[in-house]
Amino acid sequence: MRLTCRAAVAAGLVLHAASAAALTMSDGTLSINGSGTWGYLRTDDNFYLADSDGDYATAGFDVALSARPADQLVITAQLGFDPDEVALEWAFAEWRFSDLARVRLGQVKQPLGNYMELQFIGTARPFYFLPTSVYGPADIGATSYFGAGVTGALPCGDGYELQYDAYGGAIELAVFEPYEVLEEGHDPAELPELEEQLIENIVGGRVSLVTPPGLVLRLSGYGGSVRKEAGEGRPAFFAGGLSALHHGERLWVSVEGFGFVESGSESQLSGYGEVAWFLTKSVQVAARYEVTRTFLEDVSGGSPLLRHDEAGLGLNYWFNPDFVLKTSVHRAEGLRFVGPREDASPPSGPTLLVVAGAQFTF
Amino acid sequence: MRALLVALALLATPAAADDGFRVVVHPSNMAADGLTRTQISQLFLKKTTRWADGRRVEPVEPGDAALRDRFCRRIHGKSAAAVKSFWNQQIFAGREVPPLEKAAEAEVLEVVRSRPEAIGYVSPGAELTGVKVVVAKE
Repeated sequence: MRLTCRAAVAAGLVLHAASAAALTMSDGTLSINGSGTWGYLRTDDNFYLADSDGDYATAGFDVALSARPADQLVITAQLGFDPDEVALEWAFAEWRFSDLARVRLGQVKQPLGNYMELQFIGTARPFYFLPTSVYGPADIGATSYFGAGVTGALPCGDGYELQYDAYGGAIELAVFEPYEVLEEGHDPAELPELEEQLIENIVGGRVSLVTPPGLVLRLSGYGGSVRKEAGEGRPAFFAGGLSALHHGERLWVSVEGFGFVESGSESQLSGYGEVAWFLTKSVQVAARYEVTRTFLEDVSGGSPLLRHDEAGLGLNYWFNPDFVLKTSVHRAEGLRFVGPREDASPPSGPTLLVVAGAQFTF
Repeated sequence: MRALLVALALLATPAAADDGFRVVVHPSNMAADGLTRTQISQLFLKKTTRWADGRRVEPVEPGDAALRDRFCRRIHGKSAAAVKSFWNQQIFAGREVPPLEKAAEAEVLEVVRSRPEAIGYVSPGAELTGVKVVVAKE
């Protein structure tokens, strides 16, 4: 019954998306927007987002609500639906003192890099999925933080604008650490699965400089402490990086470099470069290269479990800015984010991933 | 002398009229006098959200795609598609929602006539009784 209701809500909103830009009620005091994605993913052997059997069940749908019950108060939330669950992605209240200072309280999108706030929005990027090295289970950032923050923008003249975010609270990182098998005493037959890691008492921020040609330069990061099992202490954790983004009429470029350090155990450097070009108003080609290097205390480097290198090529067809068909092929080396198929031996060699899907917003 | 008269005549003409649209506000809105194109862009992109007197700015847009594209290219310096992409990023980052959209120009004008804090745009041929046309400075 619950699934039927979910499907009915989703279907209703999709049908609405086909006929309207967004649902706006009460003369703009309540807005409903949505985004969706579906794709077919298949690898040549190993598991990397899918396996060689292919995966059709990748549909996702997000509904974003924004209400303005008072002149300075905005309430915003986003729900995510996928084949397995319904999740609250963020929900917060924002009090707008001015354009320079907006205070946010609740579960707030984490402002990190170019895309962390737009993780589920396929029409905001050229590839079906974001670079795994920064936006995958790479220990870099989370969908949202739990706590309080302040954001604002300061026009600097001549079209330049400085934007900032500062926040504090806690985040839950999605973590995939197959290299735990390299640690002493770990059962090599037991590869870890995707887990969540709570980083508490964080203080973070992002500063963005928006330039008139549309180039955005960003510096973002945060620090906190990792909640561990009793007796394991609370190691310090820091993550941060630099980003550049340009989404012009024809050329899209995104380049980012990030790193993290967890005191006494591990650190990581990762980054990617992505460029896309509209050959026509609708046809877009894209290329991306990404890299991750993880370093463990007391373990010498060189293991494929500590690195990820991936090259991707994409071809997209945009019906309009709200609806796009995407295809891409990716070649990944290293086992930082690649695992074995179920009941298979540990993977070896490069992994080829093919993706074809559609993404939309309203 | 003739050149001076021509220049004065051009200054007195709403800049937007030549661009295929007219920016309109409530007749009582003095804060909109002398807005530059950049300032108008900031108002419609909600980067400036308050008039000089402290009231919240309420931009309103027509649904006409061709009119919207002319406005976006002239005021924002971008295509309507690029502006739509900007709004998608704002919406789903939880930062801002786009201006109120009205399907018909008459509805845009009705909002502007009835709300002192509203600003909209319509085609040059629209019936402009009860609204004030903003002369956009360069």
